[in-house]
Amino acid sequence: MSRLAYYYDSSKCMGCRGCQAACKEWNEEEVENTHFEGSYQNPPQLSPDTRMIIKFYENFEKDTVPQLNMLKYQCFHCGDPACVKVCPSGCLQRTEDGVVIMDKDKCIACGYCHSACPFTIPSIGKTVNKCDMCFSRIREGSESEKTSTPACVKACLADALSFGNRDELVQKGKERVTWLKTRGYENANLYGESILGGLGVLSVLKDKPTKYGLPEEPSMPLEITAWKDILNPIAPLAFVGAIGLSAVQHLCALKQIKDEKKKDDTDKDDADKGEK
Amino acid sequence: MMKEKMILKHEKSTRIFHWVNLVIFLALLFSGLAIFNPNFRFFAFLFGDLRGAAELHKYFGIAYLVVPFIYIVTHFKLFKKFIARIADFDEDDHKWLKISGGYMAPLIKGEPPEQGKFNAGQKSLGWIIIVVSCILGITGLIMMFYTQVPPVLVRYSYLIHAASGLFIGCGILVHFYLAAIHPKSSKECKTMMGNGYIEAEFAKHHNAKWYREVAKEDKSSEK
Repeated sequence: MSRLAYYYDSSKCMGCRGCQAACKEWNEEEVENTHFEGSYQNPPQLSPDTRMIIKFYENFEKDTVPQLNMLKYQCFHCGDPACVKVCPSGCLQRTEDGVVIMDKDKCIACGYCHSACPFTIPSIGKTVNKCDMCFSRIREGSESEKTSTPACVKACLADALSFGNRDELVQKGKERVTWLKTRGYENANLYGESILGGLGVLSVLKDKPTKYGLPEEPSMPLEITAWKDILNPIAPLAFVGAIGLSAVQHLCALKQIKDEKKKDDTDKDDADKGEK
Repeated sequence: MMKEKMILKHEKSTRIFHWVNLVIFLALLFSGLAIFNPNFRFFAFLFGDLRGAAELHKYFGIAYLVVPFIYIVTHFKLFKKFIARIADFDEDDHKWLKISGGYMAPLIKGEPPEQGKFNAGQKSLGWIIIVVSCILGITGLIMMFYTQVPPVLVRYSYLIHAASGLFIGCGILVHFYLAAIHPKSSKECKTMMGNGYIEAEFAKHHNAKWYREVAKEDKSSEK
């Protein structure tokens, strides 16, 4: 099955946040009360009521051309998702076509996914919340273009968002990056092509990922692998070992008791003989 | 038949603390295992479901830190005595450990040397429980307040918490076996879980040094 992905072009995004509003509306999430604190980014971060935000990296220095770097910040739907690996209840899962979905009824609010995620994206209130590619739309919607795309993509005015076959979108992104380079954006790049098993959100960035607050080369944390791939499988064996040790001690004790009894008997016999 | 002579080994407060700690520990072990490993998921039914297990694990975890704290503060003298006993690791204790206290004979041969109130194995377990519980407590608190802590630290806490829990779970399993099932030492169970008294004859053989200590005190008190 071909993989699904978002495509986000930061060089086209104008920061209108129509996608944010559409996301909240479709997913029926509460609106948060926020205060202006010097940045146009709003809300300031992801939360149990906010699956996605447009991050603003503003550069308004005196005597320079104002610069705004924007980034659509949400679950990146990793090809090799750490959150799915650590989820103890089976709430988070990855579908065959690459959507990292959640079953909120199963969530136990342990928060493992939040800390395991290289971007610390899942937010946990009563249950987990994060982007699920509008699973209700892309799966249960009709085949028509009206409902089979995620709400944010549908709402984008600037043509900065697309959704569809990942291979095609990678191609599109590469072409866009080449074009941006000829226009003087030397550091332009396509973020997410191969990291973490390939991200399900392909972002065309005008500058280095670090300028967008993104890690350059994120990877599956080693401690997660040690925890879930090594310690987890040996756990039952450890208990089998402990029971085995007890069993060996038990056999030893039985043998000891038998030997002592034998010794006692022979001692007695010897004593009897001596008396005779 | 003459009634066998009994001597007091565990104070009432010690026994109550052991009981309370046992209940809390088992609740933590079973809920923790259910969350940690799919093979032990069935333990979740004890707490309703997995969500209940996760929720209760936090409350029991807090109790696991608070209860010993209260005990130590209110019974500081007893606690100090206990620490002094398990900290006193002499030549005999090393010898005892080398031959596993004779528990593995005839696989590991040797005559176990005389022991105090606690044998070297019990002393080691005492330290293991204290140290590992502290580790579990610290990592557990980090996991509970994960949004306030750098994610790397939280992830290492997951690993360390799971490994420590597994280790102490296995340790307690052997502890339970030796104290409650083992044909030669299972007398300890009814002592700790019951009225605190143990047969003098048993103590003479298993805890010779402590037996002499007690006998001396008895004599001096008679005078």
